[in-house]
Amino acid sequence: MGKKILRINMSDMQTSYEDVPEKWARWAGRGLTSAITYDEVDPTCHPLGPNNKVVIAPGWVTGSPAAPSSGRTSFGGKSPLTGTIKEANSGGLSGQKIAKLGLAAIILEGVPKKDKWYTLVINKDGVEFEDASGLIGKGMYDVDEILWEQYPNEPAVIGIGQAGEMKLSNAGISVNDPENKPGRYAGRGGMGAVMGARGVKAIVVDDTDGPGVDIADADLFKQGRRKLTKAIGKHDLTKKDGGLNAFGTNVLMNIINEAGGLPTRNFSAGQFEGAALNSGEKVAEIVEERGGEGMTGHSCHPGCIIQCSNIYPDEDGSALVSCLEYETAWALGANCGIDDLDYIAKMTRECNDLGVDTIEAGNTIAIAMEAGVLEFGDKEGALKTFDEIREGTPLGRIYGQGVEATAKAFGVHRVPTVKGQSMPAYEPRAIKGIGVTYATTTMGADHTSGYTIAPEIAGVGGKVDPLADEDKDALSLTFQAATAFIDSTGYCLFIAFPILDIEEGWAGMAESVAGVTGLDITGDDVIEIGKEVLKMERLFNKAAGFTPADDRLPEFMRYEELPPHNVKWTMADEDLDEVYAWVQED
Amino acid sequence: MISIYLYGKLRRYAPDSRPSGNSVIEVEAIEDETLQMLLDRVGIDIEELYTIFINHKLLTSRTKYARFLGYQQVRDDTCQSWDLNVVIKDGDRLGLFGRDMSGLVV
Repeated sequence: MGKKILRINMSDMQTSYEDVPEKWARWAGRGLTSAITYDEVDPTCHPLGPNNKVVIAPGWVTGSPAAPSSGRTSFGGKSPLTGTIKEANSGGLSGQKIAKLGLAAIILEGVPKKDKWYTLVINKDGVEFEDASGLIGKGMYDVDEILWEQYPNEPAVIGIGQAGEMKLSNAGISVNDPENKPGRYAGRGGMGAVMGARGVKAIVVDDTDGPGVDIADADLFKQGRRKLTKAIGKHDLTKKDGGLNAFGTNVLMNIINEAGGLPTRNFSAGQFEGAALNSGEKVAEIVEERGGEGMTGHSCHPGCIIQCSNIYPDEDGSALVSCLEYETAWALGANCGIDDLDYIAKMTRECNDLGVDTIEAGNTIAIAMEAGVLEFGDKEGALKTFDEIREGTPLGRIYGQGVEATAKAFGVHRVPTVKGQSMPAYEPRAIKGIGVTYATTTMGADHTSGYTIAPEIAGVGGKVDPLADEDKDALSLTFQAATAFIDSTGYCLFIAFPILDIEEGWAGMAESVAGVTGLDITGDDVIEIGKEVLKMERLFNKAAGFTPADDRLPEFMRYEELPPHNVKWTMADEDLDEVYAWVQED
Repeated sequence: MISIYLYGKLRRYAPDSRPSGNSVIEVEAIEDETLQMLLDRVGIDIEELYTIFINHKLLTSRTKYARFLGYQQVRDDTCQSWDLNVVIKDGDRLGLFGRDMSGLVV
């Protein structure tokens, strides 16, 4: 049985199961959400209006038997934060269950005629529209718990917190983790507001007795899976007891701080004196000391062999939040001048409950601190900003709109955003390769858009000098294209590390995709396929009104020197423009 | 004086090995001493190391993509060479990360 696309129209409460048309047959994950958004969403539409959509798609290999670390779900549409196309992907339970129901994608479209909220229940028999009025006003911790009590078989719960109900631009989409907690987020870009605008509070996915995922060539799939699994198990960062397993993504806190690239106090410095107190090593120490439910090496979805997640314990050992990531510990920590992990964990829990992206939330608090609304380091004050959002006060609604709206409201000019989305935890003045990606990606400032891949592994010829500004454009494109491919596979982006350092892993990834889908894909095709995804995204943005002048880092980075290296952003605009110069309409 | 900052499992080489503390070995500088000689002197096995910073600049890392990140670097030619014949001077700060703290981006 071929995969289907489930279309759910909230305007007339109709659903249909459609064959996947030829033009989309080769896509999955980000490739598919971007293809559908490109084909079906008017780039000039208002993101919260009736003509935007939420497209949900598991990756190529998601749901296939024992593909390692492959439980990602992509969420796409037009972003209310950036006005660009958006794909945000998440771990958690949803991807594998959607795939096992035989679905290539779910398209959520339209707006209910009445001002009413729904829970959509999707199983092998179809879709039910349930009244969600009892869930309105509730955070995701309650929503997940209530829906697991209400529905059998421990389903996936995709939902929005109060921020999504209020259609705030920083609202993310939550996916429950194996413990049914809302720790996994398609966080960036405000897709939670787009879901809220469809009148959908939650989507329950139960894959019981679903058809499962077809494997076109079992031998090729097994061969690819074996190579990839071996590479993940061998690499220092991803192996058992390796960097990610032992310290989580927060393994980076001390490294980036040592490199002078840790954005501190709203991007005014590259080092934070309290970095060690917020580090992954410190989280591991607290987990060991407090015991109880705390743990490192936690899986965000079944079948992950990297297990980089954690459960941060409260003082009494009870679970306070999962997961404390590097980006989160940085955004709510160094960037706000806060060096207390307990407070950072409490704020992270608030983000997970209200349904806001932790990176944008931390950057927003830093803007409020820069404006003098709060003092840098004021952890109590920072924590209370989330009460303002929950209560929907005018100030809370400003915070919930993210960095640019908050900066305008308070007259701040040091605004670390590109295309309306704030930067993650790498200072582009100190780590310039990542700056090129921030500036040019189709998504707004995003570190996951352009992973760094040695061109010789990616099969891209030519000699490049990574230190020369004029070569960084070519590198960034390669990185962005490979990332677009990985985001389409359903594999976690962290497989990038072993497959980049171990060539057999690179081939294994491509072979496993070819084995599941029957598509003729080898490691040599990865970059070209990724570029096709980028092209659709770039053309959508162009039609939405974006030009190369939007591919720039903020002005203050050109004139403010960043300590300790005392460097400015020096890359020429013409070099940035080269990254996407190849994109032309057919 | 030379300060050697240690992270992750390498903290065991320092008097204060708490994650929340500064795990630092302080040693007197010796004229014309290279990094290789210094590591031998303090007894740190190079095989254990994954990434080395000198004065917050990247000297070397075992990961193949290190040179494509655009970090501030000690040497312009490469940061993947494990040529440790770099002279360490009085006042320098080293940052050492072991294989348990591999990676330069996530």
